[in-house]
Amino acid sequence: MTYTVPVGSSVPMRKRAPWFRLCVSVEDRLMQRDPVRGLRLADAAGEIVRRLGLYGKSAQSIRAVLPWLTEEDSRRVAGISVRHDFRNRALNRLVIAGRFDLVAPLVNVEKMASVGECHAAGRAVVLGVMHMGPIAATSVSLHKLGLPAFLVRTGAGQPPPPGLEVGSLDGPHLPAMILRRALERLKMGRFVVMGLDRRSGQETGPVSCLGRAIRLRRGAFTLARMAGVPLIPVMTRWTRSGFGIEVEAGPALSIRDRSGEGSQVEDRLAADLAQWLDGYVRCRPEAVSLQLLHLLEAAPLVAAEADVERALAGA
Amino acid sequence: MSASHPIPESLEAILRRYVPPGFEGPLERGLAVAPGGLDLDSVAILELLMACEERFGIAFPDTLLECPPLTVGLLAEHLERQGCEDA
Repeated sequence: MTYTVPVGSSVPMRKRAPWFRLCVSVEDRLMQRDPVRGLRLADAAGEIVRRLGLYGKSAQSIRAVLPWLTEEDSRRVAGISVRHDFRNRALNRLVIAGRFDLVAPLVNVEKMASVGECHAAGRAVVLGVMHMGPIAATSVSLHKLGLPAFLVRTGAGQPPPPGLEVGSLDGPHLPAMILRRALERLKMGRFVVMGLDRRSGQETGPVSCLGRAIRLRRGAFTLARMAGVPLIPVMTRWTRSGFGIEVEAGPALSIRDRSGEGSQVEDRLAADLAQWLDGYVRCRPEAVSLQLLHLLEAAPLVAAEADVERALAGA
Repeated sequence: MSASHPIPESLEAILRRYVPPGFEGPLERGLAVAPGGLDLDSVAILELLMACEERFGIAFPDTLLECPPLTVGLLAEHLERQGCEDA
């Protein structure tokens, strides 16, 4: 029997190699008994598959997207990105199993001030989440802060984090209905959490980030525009030492200019967010996830994108 | 309402704002709004519904979106049942 590379999330668990499924099963049991030991095992598993060349990015490909890094830093980021990816998967499975009690002590919410201020002022906000780290930790952080929110995500059938309402994009209803419910929640003054770099869905126009013309998912920007509320980027990352997760909220980004088509308004908001993300990653390259590296790798260089646009305009 | 009965002009005018470039066919009642018909994605469907609600002063029930496929005819019928002006 032939197995594909057993690690990528695009391969369903039942189709992965038996040895990989066994490792995941052991890791999950360990996570439920002692999360820190489980995360250490995840680190080790990530390092093994990286060294075997089964998963991850080379230092060279990391320098191609983050060219200001030294060779040593690129090698470090190459290792960290895979180990953290394995931690994220282990953590996500713990959240899917409903063990929020085990995840909550790992999550640090001290850098969520802008979110708390909006909540205190009774302002609705769209929280835009990048796959910068353990995305599941964002919902746990909201629970810790006691913030009621509507979480738009995939994963129908997974238990909702305590205190949060979930709209599943892959559930029985049209995704448009989930977006409509999210819009209603915003109009009621509640928070909505949504991914900015999901694989499916409509994209924004190209926005500049780290020298690349990336495209983000449009949904969060559409909701912010239609509800007239700010968008706050939320990033999560593993702390440099130990196994803590720091959840950090960026500034509340508001629509400054409502002129033009709705998509143009959203693209300007996306550009503001991309600019903030650019600064965030330059300060914390170790927080770059494999998903963001994929997004950057697939995006054209900003100069090349401008060349294409000029060529199209001249054609 | 028969499938061949034309949809209200006011609804057609709104729909035409959202149909993808290159779609020049008639907006028949049996046409799905989502992929496979007009190919509108979830964001565009949301905007379409909001535009209709604003134009006609009504609210579409969630049930309209609970049982895909949402078709042009279902939108038209809802407006007609509500007795909307021009619909």
